Amino acid sequence: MQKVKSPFTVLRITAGFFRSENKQIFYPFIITVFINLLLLEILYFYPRYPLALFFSPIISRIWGDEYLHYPMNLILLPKLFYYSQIVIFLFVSNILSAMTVDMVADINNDKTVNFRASLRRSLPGYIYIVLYSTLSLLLFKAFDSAYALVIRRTLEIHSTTGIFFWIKKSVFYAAPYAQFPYSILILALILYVPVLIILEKKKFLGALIGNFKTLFGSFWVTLTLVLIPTLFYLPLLLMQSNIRSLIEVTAPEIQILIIVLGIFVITGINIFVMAAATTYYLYKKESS
Amino acid sequence: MKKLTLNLIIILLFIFAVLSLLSLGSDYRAERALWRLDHTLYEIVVHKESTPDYAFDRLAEKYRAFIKKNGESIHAKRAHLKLGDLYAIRKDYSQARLEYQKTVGPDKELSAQAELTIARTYEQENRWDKALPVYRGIIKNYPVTNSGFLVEMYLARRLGGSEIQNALSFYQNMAVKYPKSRLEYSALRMIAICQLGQKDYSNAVKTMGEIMLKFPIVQAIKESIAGINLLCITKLHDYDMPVNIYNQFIQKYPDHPADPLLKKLIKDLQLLKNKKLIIQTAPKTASK
Repeated sequence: MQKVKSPFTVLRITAGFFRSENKQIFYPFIITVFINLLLLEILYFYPRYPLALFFSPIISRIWGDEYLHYPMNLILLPKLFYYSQIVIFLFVSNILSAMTVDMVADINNDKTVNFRASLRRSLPGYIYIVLYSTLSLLLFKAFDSAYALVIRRTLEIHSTTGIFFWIKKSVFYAAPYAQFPYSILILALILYVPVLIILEKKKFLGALIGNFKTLFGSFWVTLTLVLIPTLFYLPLLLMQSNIRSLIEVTAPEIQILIIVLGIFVITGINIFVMAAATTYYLYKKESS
Repeated sequence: MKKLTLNLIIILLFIFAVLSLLSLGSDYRAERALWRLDHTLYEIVVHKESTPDYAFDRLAEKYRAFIKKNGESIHAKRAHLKLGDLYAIRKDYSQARLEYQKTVGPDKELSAQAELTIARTYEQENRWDKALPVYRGIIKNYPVTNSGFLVEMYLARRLGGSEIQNALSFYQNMAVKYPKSRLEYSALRMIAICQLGQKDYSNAVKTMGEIMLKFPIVQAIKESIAGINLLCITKLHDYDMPVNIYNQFIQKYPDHPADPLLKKLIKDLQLLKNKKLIIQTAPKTASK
């Protein structure tokens, strides 16, 4: 491995892996995108026969009959997709992106990447990867709940001028974007857990402790490794927070386009960040 | 990698094609087509001053084509209603009424809506002699539809006088006829509004009390408390009446989330009573 001076070098080296001959490194990305698109396809057809037979009673009971009709079905679609995606994220997507760890290690050892072999080697750590996914999900949920509390408290501010008014205004305007920096921080804080589970065959708790040891002294590098690729998500976030205006000038179907773009961008970021974390971890290991 | 990607794309396309074919007979396409026409109509309503005549004609043509394609379906009926709206915007009220009339059919909600719009076109032409019988017909034929239910209140507000008493009798009948239903809740609210219109504050307070005792839901409690406090303190100067109502509520629903608030209100009201305070609303100043 070439000498790593900064997080930008790590990112450059990682990008190089995806341009290499080892095209199978793209398999986790392709399969994750496929599973998500399949899920989206099924959810897109939920108000129509034959899927309506299954979905209609559930949708009308939880959200109301209007969501069984156009265009309200498309308004509900992102929410439905988000809930279903949690299951995919917990049980499928994360093991696929964790496989990238094994693949990057193979490239680093000048071996040819083999998807099946990586899968075979990663599967024993599956349960710990699921635990890791659950932990990250719980941390995101904790933030959501905390921010909801802040919003509720802010609603009690009646000032129309002064510092409290500006606090209130900032809390509301920041709401769609607040999760973005927090997600980056959370991801950075537990980034090496899957790396240690897959490469060092550690159990969940051992990987968690090892993660903080790896993080010690390299927090800012790790944060940059997460931050730079995640910036690609910003345009999507802007589109999502302006979805009403976008629908006004285009059509309700724009929701589908944004979800599809989101699938590609988020999966790409997850896999790239995982690969970058592995590259940096291997560098640290070799240099120590 | 190319082979895998191609295979997965084929699977996605195949599933999409199968689901599209299976849902060919569903109403979804008609819903979507009608929504698009309605969206154009909405744009015309917003910019009606600057919309050229040919845009009206083109949209009317599209509605007619839609109606022809969808025969006697509910969507075609809805399209007639919207086509009527289009004519009404152009102040071609007789043509609008012809279209509205075509909407009347087995669907009571839609029929009531159509009759209501017919009455409104007469109103636009200042032909109350024609409008009033149509309104009366709606009350008689479609009393439990959304449109039909509100017509009495509309007439009471528009015409005042004896219409308020008519509305009061109508909603009192409805409340008796449909006990323990959403209709009773809505009818009781309308009764309170009518009593306020008649300046019968004492009965209005009783009705509001009845609402919160029969329907201990957030909206009902909020509205009732606000109304009862305002009327009892500023108009009736009777502090015992709200205390009795709130005590009845606490007895009927012990451990209700609203109980602490009501207990605090009882204390405050008793304090006002002991101090023999008389609070009056500020007299309205005449506008210059």
